[in-house]
Amino acid sequence: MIQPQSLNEKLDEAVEEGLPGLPEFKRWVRRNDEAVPYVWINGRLASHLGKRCAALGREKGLGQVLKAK
Amino acid sequence: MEKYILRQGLVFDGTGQAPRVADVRISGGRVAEISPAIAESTADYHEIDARGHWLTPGFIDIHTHYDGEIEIDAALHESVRHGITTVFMGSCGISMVMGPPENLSDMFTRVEGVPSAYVKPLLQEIKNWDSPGGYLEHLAQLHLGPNVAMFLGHSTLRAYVMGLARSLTHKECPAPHEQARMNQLLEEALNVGYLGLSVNMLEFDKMDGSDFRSRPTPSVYAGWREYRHLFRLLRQRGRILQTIPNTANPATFFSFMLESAALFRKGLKTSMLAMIDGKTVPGIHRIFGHSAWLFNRVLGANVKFQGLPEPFDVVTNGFNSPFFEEFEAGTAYLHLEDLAERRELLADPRYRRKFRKQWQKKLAPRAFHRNLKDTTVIECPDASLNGQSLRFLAQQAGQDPIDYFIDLVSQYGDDLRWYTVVGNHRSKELNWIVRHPDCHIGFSDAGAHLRNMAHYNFPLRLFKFVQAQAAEGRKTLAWPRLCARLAANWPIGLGSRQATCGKATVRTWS
Repeated sequence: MIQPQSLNEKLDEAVEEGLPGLPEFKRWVRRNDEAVPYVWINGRLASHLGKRCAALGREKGLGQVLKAK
Repeated sequence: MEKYILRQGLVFDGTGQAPRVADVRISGGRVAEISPAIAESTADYHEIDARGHWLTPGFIDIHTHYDGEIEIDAALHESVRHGITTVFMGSCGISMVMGPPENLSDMFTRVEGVPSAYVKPLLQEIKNWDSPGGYLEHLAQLHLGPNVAMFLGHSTLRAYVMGLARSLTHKECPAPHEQARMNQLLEEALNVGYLGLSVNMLEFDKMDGSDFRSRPTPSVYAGWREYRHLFRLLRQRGRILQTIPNTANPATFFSFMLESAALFRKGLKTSMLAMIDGKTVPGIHRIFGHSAWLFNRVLGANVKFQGLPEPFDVVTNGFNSPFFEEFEAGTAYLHLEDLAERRELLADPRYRRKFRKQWQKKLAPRAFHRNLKDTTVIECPDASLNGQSLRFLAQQAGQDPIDYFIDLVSQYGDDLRWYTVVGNHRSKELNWIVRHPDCHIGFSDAGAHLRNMAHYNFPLRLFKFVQAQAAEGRKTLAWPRLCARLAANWPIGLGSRQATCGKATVRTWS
């Protein structure tokens, strides 16, 4: 779910944020948390305004290994 | 099971159809219903007001190097937060599929700008798989954030079958039984659902570690005979080759185009890097675009170029970037890990002469523009330098620009952070790229070049770019088409992300 009014210059601004598991190592990223209020993956809520939802990375049932056929 | 009703959002279904205001019901892990008005919900549904918002299928990132990070935090939230719900891994010849952990780490970390200390000990501790199928089973056990699909890296395959030492030796070809083993392993990978094979011909992507430090990765050492054996299998099975031609030898671009062509055989689906309006060769993206158009339509080829919908900008710490691996003197510096040794090298007048000569060499094909006027120091321990170009600072100091730059790196090493734009700097040309029918939007390199590149949110920046183009009155992508390109236009023969009701639709490469 996208907030089109937040597709603005903030998307281009780069900041440094700690890496998961290695917070002192800063990675270069661009974020505008308001632009994406909700993300669902396979019907499960994964991210809300840039914040991790409870199940993300802690439970199975979100992402799956996709196999080419 | 979570159940949602999203009320009155503008729904882009990913087919390229015009969007419509509708309610969307999510239940049982699927989009269960899209209709103008869904009746009152029962208490087990969460209702979300989507008025004034867009609802789109999740985006696909077709080019990531999350192969390391996924073992630490499989949420991959840095991509998920921007609406990416599927990532492809195993890009550019490098994957974690099989072989000793040390080798996998050494092939990965310097090429991808990820600290070795972050990857190697972890792989040593956890790696309990050693086959294409075993790796997918391992991935399936993780608490995955986004969906994941895999390429088998050719460097991984070559090193596994021939041994790392031989795979990194010039003129060492696989023996017939080794070639047969490679084919067999690729076939096994395709059987269990890999998208295809990834190949990397870039000579400036270098090995980390100590044993083979600063050699290019194994895929570079392979001959066309070896490649062709493997491509034949991809062709037969209708799977994908992801490839980076050798930028130092532009003829390799055309070799891959010819490989893709259906000349008395099936065409080969080829995802090639990259359709970028690079500053070093203005117009190169148009040559790629026109060639793809011609080969695809006349010779039955199936080449798609990966392209970024935004300026290709890079932050570099000192000389610490693949762009400094493009010439010998740069590699010699990066070969050393110790700051004192690096300083000693930079102080050597003979080295400095060599650096200067190679840096200024006009005719050598390269990816990085090396124009010091076109740089900005963004973070230096001497804060008075911030915000200025290296060339301007050299002039201020009354010094030659290259000497000044070397001195600055000698003094501050990786603490000198400077910014430059390498390509995609002209919006009209960028618009041409994103509209090109043979361009796949992607190539974020997510999970790699961690301190240097920030393209995780490329789908959102594409929206913004297209909005700005339309405001300028330029013909550009229409919104529905754009959603389709980000979410469903790729590949895959595996469920892609169309938000039509029911099961995710299976689409072929288009």
